[in-house]
Amino acid sequence: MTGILVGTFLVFGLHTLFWLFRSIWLYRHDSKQFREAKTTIAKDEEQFTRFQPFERFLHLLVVSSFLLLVLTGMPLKFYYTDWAKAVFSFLGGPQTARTLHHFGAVITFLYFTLHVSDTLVHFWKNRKFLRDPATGKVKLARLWTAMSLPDSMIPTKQDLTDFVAHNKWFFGQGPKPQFDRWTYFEKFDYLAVFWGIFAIGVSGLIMWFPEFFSKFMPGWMINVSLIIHSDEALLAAGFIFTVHFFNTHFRLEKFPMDTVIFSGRISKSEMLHERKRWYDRLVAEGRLDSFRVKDEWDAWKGIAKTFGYLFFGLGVVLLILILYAMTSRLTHGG
Amino acid sequence: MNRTTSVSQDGSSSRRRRGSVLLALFAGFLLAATPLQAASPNEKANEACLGCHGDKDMVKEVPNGAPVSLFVDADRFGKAVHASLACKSCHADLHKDHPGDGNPVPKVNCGICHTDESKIYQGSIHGMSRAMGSSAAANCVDCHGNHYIGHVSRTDSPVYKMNLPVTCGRCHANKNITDEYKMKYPSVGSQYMESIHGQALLKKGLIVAPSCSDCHGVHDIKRSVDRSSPINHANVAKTCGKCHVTVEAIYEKSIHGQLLAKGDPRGPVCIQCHSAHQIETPGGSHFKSRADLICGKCHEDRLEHYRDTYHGKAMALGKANTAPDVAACYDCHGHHDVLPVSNPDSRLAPGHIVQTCQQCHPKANVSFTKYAPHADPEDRKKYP
Repeated sequence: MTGILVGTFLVFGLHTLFWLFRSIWLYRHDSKQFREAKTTIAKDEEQFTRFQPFERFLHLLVVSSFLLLVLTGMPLKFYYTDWAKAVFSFLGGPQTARTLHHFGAVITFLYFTLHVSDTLVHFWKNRKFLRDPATGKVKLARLWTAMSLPDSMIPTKQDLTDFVAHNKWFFGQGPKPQFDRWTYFEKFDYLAVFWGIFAIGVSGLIMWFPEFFSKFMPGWMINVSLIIHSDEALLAAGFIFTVHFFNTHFRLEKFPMDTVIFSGRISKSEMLHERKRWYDRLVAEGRLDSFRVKDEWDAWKGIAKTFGYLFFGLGVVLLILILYAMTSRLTHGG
Repeated sequence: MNRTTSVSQDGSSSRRRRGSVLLALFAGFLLAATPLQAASPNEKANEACLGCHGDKDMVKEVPNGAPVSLFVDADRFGKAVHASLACKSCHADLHKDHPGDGNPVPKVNCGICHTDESKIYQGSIHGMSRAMGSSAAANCVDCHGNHYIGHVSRTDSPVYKMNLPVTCGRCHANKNITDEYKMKYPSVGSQYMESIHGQALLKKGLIVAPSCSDCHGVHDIKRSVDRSSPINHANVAKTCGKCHVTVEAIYEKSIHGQLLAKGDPRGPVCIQCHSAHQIETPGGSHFKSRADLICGKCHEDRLEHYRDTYHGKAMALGKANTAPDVAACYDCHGHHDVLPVSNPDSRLAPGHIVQTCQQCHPKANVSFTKYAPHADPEDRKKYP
C-alpha cells in the first residue's frame, strides 16, 4: 500500500515539477508570446463544447462530495493535531462529522452509478461497432479495438509516446506534443478516481456496516479496511490537491483556473494549441460542426427538472405536514 | 480525676437549736446536700476565674498578630459537656500566682482524662507533626473547640459529620497553610465539595455519605505511606469497601484485585481510576471522556493502538468534557470485574464477547468479534 503512495507521488511529483520548470522557462523566455497566446485563447469567438452539461454536473458532484469527505475524514486520521480538533468542533463533533461523511459517500456512489450507467448506455448505442465490418458477425476482438480508440479513457501506446515526448519537451529536447481528446495525465486522473472509489468505497462500506460484512468476512477485515481506507484516501486527497490542482489551476497557462470543466467550452485557438490531434480528427470525420457551442438547454433540461421537481416536491410535502400539524391541534381538542 | 481542695465551705451556719430529731434531719439534709454543695466549690472557684475571664473584652496582646480573646462565656460553658468541671480540672498546671506571675499559661493536656484518645493522637500524623515542632498541626482544640464542646452527634459540633469538611478545611483548604506545610494535595477541600461524596453529604444531606473521618480515621489519621493507614494503597479497597461492599467483593476477584493481593504495588486500587477526592459519577460523559487516559497510564501500548481505531480517534476528538458514543475501555473490559480473557467469567471470554459487542452493535455476531480494537500491527504473533 505504501508502495502505491510513494510510487505515485514520486512519478507524478517529478512530472509536475518538470512541467512547472518548463512553464516558467517559457514564460520568462518569451513572455510576450505567452501573454498573447493567453489573450487570444480568452477572446477567441469560435468555441467548441468539450464537456456536456451532464458531465459538468457530475464533476460538480465529484468536487463537492470529495471535499466533504476529506473535510470530515482527515481529522480522524490526524486526530492528534489541533486543527483536527478545531474542524470537528466546527462541524459539531464526531457524530455529526460521521453523518456528513456518510452523506458524502452516498453522493460519491450516486455519481459513480450515474456515470457508469451513462457510459453503458453509450456503449449500447454503439454496439454495432462490435460487428466485424466485413462479415457482420460480432467479434470480441473488436472490443480491444474499441478500447484503444482515441475517445477512450483506456491508456494506449500513443499515451506512452505522448508521455515521453512531453517530458522531452520539458527539457527542451523536443517539440511540444499535441494531444487528442484525452491527454495521458487526464486519463490517469480518471482511472485513479475509478480505482479510488473502488478501494475507498468498498473499505468504507465495510466499516459503515461492520455487522453485515462480518457475516461472511472475519472481523479483522474491519481493521484491514481501516488501513486501506485511510491510506487510499490520503493518496487520493494528496494527489488531487497537488497534481490535479497543478494541471488545472496552477499551470501558468491555466492560472488561476481552467474553467472548461464547468463551462464545457474550449476555444478554437486553445484546441489548436493543445489538442490539435483532436481537432484534426474531428475535421477529418466531418464532425467538427456538431461540436460547436450551441444552446444547451436540451442537455440541462433533465438535470434541471430533476432538481426542480425534487425541491418542489419537498416543499409540497412540508406544506402538507405543516397544515396537518396545525389542523390536528384543532380536531384533537388542541 | 483530682480535684484541688476547695475554698472553705459556707455550708455550716448557725442553724442547730431545735431538738435532736431535727438535728438528725438537718444533719441528714446537710449530708445529702453535700454533693450539691460540693459542686459549688467548683462554681466558686470558677467564679474566681470568671472574674477576669468573664469579661467580654478581655484580650491578650499577641506580638505580630490580632489580640486573642480570653473571654469565656459561662452560660455556654454551662451547656457544654464539660460543664461539671472546674477550670482547674483542665488548666491543671496553672501557676498558683496566675495571672500575676508573668509566666506563660501552659497548654491544656486533654489526655489527663482522655488517655486513650490522647495516645492514639500522639501516634497520628497530626500528633507527630506537632511533637516535631509544627505548631499549626491540629490538636484537640483545633477540631473539638475548647470551652463549648458539645457531643459529636450534636449538629452544631465542629466534628459533627456534616461539619467535618469545614473543620478539616480550615487547614486543608487554607492556601496559607497548605503552602507553608507543602501539602501534596492542596485542593482537597474544593475537590471534595464538588465530588459525588461531598454533594451527597452536604448538598443532598445524605448522612450515609462519607465525611473526612470515614476514610481517614478520627484520632488515628496517618499518611498514606504508613502501612496501618486506611488510605494506604493496600488498604484502600477495604476502606472504600466499608460502604461499597459488593464492589469490593467484585474487585477482589478481578485481575487488578488479584495483583494487589499478591502484593504487587502496581495493582490499581479505587483511587487510581476514581481519584481520591474528585470522585465523579462514573456513568457520566465526563468520566467516560477521561477513561482512556486513566487506563492508558498503565496500559500505554494499548492506548496507542486504541487510538489507531475509530473508537480511539472519535474519543480523542470529542467535544470538551463529553464523550462521543463509542466504546471506552471499560465498555468492553468491564471495570471492577476486569478479568483476563482466559477466565471464562471475563466479558471478553468467548462465551460473553458477543454480548459485550452487542451493547452498541446489536447485530454483532461471532465473526464480528474477531475485530481487533487495539491491534498492534507490529506484533506478528497476535495479529498476523
